[in-house]
Amino acid sequence: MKRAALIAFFLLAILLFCPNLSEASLKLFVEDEEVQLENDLVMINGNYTIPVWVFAEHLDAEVQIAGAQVTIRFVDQVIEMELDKETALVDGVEFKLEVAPQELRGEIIVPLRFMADQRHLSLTYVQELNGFRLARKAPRFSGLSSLLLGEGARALPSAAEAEQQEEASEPEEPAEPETTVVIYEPSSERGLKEIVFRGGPRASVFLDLQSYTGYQTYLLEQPARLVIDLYGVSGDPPPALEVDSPVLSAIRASRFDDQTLRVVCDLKAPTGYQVLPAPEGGLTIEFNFLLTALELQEKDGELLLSFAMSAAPEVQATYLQNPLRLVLDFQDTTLMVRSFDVPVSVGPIVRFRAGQHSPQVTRVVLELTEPLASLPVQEQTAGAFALPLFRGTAADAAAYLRGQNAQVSEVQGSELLPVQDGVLSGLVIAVDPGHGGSDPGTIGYRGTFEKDVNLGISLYLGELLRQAGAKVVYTRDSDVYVSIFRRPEIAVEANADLFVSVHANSHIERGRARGTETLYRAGDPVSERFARLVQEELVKAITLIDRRIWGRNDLAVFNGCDIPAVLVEVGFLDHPDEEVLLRAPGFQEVAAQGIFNGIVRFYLENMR
Amino acid sequence: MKKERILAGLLLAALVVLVVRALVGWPVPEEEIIPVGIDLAQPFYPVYFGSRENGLLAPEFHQGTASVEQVLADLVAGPKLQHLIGVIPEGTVVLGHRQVGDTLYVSFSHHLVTNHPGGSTGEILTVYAIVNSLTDVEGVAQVQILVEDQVVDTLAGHLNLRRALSKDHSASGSSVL
Repeated sequence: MKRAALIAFFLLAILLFCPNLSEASLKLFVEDEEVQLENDLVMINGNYTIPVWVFAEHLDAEVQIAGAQVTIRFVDQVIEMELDKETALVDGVEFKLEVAPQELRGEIIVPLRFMADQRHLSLTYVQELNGFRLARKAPRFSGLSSLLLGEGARALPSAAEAEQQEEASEPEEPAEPETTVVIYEPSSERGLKEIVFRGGPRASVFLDLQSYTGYQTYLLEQPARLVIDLYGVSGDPPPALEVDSPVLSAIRASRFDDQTLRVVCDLKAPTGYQVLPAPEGGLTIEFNFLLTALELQEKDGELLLSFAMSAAPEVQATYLQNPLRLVLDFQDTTLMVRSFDVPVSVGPIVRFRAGQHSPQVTRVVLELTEPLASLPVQEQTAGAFALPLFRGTAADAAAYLRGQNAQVSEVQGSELLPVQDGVLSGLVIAVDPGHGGSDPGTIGYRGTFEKDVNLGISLYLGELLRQAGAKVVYTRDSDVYVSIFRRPEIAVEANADLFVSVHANSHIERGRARGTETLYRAGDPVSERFARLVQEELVKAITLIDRRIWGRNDLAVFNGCDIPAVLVEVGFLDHPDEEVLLRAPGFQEVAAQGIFNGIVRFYLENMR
Repeated sequence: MKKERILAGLLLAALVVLVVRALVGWPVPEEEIIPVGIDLAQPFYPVYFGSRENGLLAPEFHQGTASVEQVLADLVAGPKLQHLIGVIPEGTVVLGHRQVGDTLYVSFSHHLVTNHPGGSTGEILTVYAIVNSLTDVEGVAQVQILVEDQVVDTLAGHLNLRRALSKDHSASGSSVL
């Protein structure tokens, strides 16, 4: 009580006497455009907020404010909030907010991180600009900060200027361009030797450059074209290239000024792309796969999502509730048919919609009356694929696949304990997937969110525990934010016997460390034994470096929870090699098996 | 008393290393005996940073008498030694500090959270570099970290920062990367 009073007094003193300590006038950028804010960005409870009008003026949303009700309507998503309420509905699914939307200085403000997560926008702080930047996640190199950091950076034309200059040679209707800028160090050899079109399942263009000091890209519409300005490139442009591809029809180059060579790819329709510097020199432009047809089918009781594409893309599935939905994200894919949202009656599917969620992702959403999970994509004929839909949860589907291929676990190196059914009967186990919702946890080198890895492993673990007879209590079983202090309360309220928190790690110097470690409550020998067995079995299963078990008395997730409790850091997400593993469902499954084996050993040796 | 203990520990460590070298000829770089050139006869104080060798905290010794302002400035400036890693995220500034009894309240800018890479390992390094360094200042026994002048639940989703923290010796030691 005395300490609380002292803290309160201290905070009051800071507020009274140090009003200008906080950094003022943070800026906000959407892509590379500065948002002209009327008031400073406000931080509430450690969360920055953003005026809701920014979404209307900069992010193509329609914003409706009716009394206390705030509705932000995007083409593919509706986000509903109520003033001073810490919940939001995203397409009907409820999310807990860390800070409630509220009216301040005549503006409605909403939590910035939450909105960025919902829109799958990257949110970064750009130190050079003293501001936050919201950007689409697609391009591998998107570089306002790179531009500013690059030495010898020249004054680049703005996107609008480039459009204007492009139009000087081609009188075309202007369009809102999507822009990417990257600057590299200058070099002595400069020249574009050749433009190479690479066909195949995924169209790509290789620019054989000896060297360049930077590049800037613009995706323009009407007519669709991708403009690449290559800086620090001298010499004559190579001849234009006519190509026969579903994606593009021609590639031409011309000298823009004495230091800039402009390459224009004439596209058949605007499509997502990535610019990848080749290790041996030059640039590769990879265009998205094109999704030209989508159809739901039911054959002999089996459900299929059929689609036509040049090659099978990576499909990421997410299972959502209220209403039940299976969300399928086709990576590096452009939807070539019109977006649609139609009621259907195919098995348990009652609604079927598809749209371009981001420049790199086509999103298909199936609204369901009972759970469905996706199985691996199968190629039926050339260019025709089917994604079988399994009646059950993702964990059911995983179990089904294990049955289909009993060698999976052996191949992946996990040793299954001879666990008889019901070995964990009567046990209540709290499974805590770390982070979630507006808190992504650490972010991997390739952009993997820790919260997704943690949830994937936890759901596999929960299913294994259920099969062994345990009652499983999740602190979260979907992508929602749950306070770090609420998590142990959930375990206590459920009378859990064991608590397992699943995380992926990061070092302060990214990419520095690797391996597995398990943290436990310091001074609790039972938790220490639990941690030792979980660590031993997990390392045996996934064969990463065995870092340590570590007793800690300062972990918030153990707060007020005195049952045997561990926090497992499966691997380092900031290490490129371990990120590849952690994002792979097969690896997540093996990791879950390792943790499960540790729990069973602990139970058999210490609790029975 | 505290400085005398550190001095005694250093001299003992140096003695052990010298004995080992004398016995087995094990080459030990100078910096492992005394990380930076300091005059042991004059006042000096440790500032903790991440170690590249073992992924835990390691002290860098600075000449002078430790003050809260100086230690905070040293932490933000980062290490001088190549084998150490800065633990304060880029852009972080100290907004203010105040001591109540033996508890030091330090307020950092939001960059401490928004620019932090996350992970329990990263979080422990950052938090205990701050706490372990500041608790070596005379009269400071525990440190309450504030962000933008507010108490926060946690820095990166693992440690409980609602309360003041004491020195954690287990954050310094040997491990593997």
